[in-house]
Amino acid sequence: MTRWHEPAPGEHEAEDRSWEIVRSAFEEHIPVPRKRDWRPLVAVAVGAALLAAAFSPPGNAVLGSLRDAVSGEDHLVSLPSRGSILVNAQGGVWVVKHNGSKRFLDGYDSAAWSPHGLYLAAARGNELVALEPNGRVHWKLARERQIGSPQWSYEGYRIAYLSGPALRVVNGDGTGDRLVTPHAGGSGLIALAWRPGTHELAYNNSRNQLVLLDVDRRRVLWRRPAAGLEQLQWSDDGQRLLVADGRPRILDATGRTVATFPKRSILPAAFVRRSHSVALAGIANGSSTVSIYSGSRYDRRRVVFSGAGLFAGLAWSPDGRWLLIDWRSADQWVFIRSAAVRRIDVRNIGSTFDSGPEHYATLGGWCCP
Amino acid sequence: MAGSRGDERAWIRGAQSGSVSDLEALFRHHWPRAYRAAYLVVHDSAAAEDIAQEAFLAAVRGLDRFDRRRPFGPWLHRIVVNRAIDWSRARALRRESGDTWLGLAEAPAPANSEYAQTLAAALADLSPEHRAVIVMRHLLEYTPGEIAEALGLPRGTVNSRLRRGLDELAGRLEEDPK
Repeated sequence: MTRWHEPAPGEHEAEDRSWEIVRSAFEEHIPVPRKRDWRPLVAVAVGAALLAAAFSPPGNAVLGSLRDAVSGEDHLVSLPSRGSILVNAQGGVWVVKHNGSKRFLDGYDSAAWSPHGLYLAAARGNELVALEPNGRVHWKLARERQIGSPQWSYEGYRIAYLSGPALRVVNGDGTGDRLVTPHAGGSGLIALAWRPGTHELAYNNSRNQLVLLDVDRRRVLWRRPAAGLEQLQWSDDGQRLLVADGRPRILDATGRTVATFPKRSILPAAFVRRSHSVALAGIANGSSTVSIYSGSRYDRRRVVFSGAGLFAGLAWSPDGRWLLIDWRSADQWVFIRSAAVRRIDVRNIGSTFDSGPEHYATLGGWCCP
Repeated sequence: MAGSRGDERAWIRGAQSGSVSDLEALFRHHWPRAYRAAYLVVHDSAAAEDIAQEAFLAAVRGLDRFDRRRPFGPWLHRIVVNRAIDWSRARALRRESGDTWLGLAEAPAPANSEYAQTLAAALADLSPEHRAVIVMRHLLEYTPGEIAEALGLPRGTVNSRLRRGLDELAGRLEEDPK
């Protein structure tokens, strides 16, 4: 035998991953007995509905429900990679599993994954709730004010959350709840981000400052100006912090600015897994673009996807191979792996998650194989 | 014998009637050569995985219509090699919306050995079109006529690409790739 018959790099691992995907596709595709052709009957029914719509209010309702049935089809039949996606939607939270199954957790809001995806922390009015993705509640904690933005620390031992404007921290088992600051948040949104590998929490205070706080020692490590903050996010190794405000930039762990980016009106962003590179979406002249910035000064830019309108969220798959773009203006999710090889568009996201013009569904994260 | 033509027909028949185990046998039998062929043309393990995986997904989608009297391999390999050539051409052309960003997202491919340093490295200096005919001839073991048909090329072109490619490879490899 010669080298032609030696395994290629990555061959065996790729085989097992790919078999799972092929098997899933096959199980969805397994032949079923041919169905009767209902098309003539459907044509007659549609014709009757159109006539009814033209002449009566009840007919109008029939036409409306037919239109909804046609346009509201759920196209999210599977995820291209392992893990589950969390979607914060109108009236509750959706958990979408790898096989496309979806569970609606009624009445929850602002849900976030625990580090290994075993639990969610979610808000329910003035309650902070820790629950399993199947809806089983483990504990809940009532506060006087509306709960928001719960975030788990990297190993799950702490949860930071908001109660009104107050920033609080509770242990992962629901004990030891304490106040961090009575007035978080400045002129923008309130943003929180635990630094991986630590109990250090980055947040913005009411004086438009970005603060890094050692929560256990109650010690401020540094402060930096940050007005209009929309998002904070650490790289997986905790060495880079993305600060998305009026002047989007990357800081190192000491708060020193490493790079700045062009000002954009909307800025969903996501660090590439296990990397300091970052995917940023920006909008200019009615068109949005997702770019990957890399290099030690973030001076290498590659555009990976462009489209008309707004991109509302980005999320990497747990294995870091797929980037999910929430293309809100097109009512689509776009999963991109390699522009030349794989791109999956999923339509009707608004209908799938029951969002409406005033309550869009937003990505809450893609977690954990 | 495992993997004989008779086995393959039985696996296809089983898969067409819904047997996951028959589909798995077909997949496991054909995966190594599909992946290696893609890898040797694109030199990128993530892309090779995508390409081979896509070919099998296409097979699943077309399974109902597949004529089981025909061999499965050539059909699969045609998809793999043509997609690998497309991918390589696109990578060469794309500068702004390139694919190398994906490399940032993934752990490096297993530092494997001699393989990367010899055969794949030697092939890397050839164009994707030349790599494809060499891979089809020496890994997948098709005749020049079959390669010409699969890639939609004149047979003379296949022969000249093979000749030139082998000349290039001979200088780089210690042993004859055959």
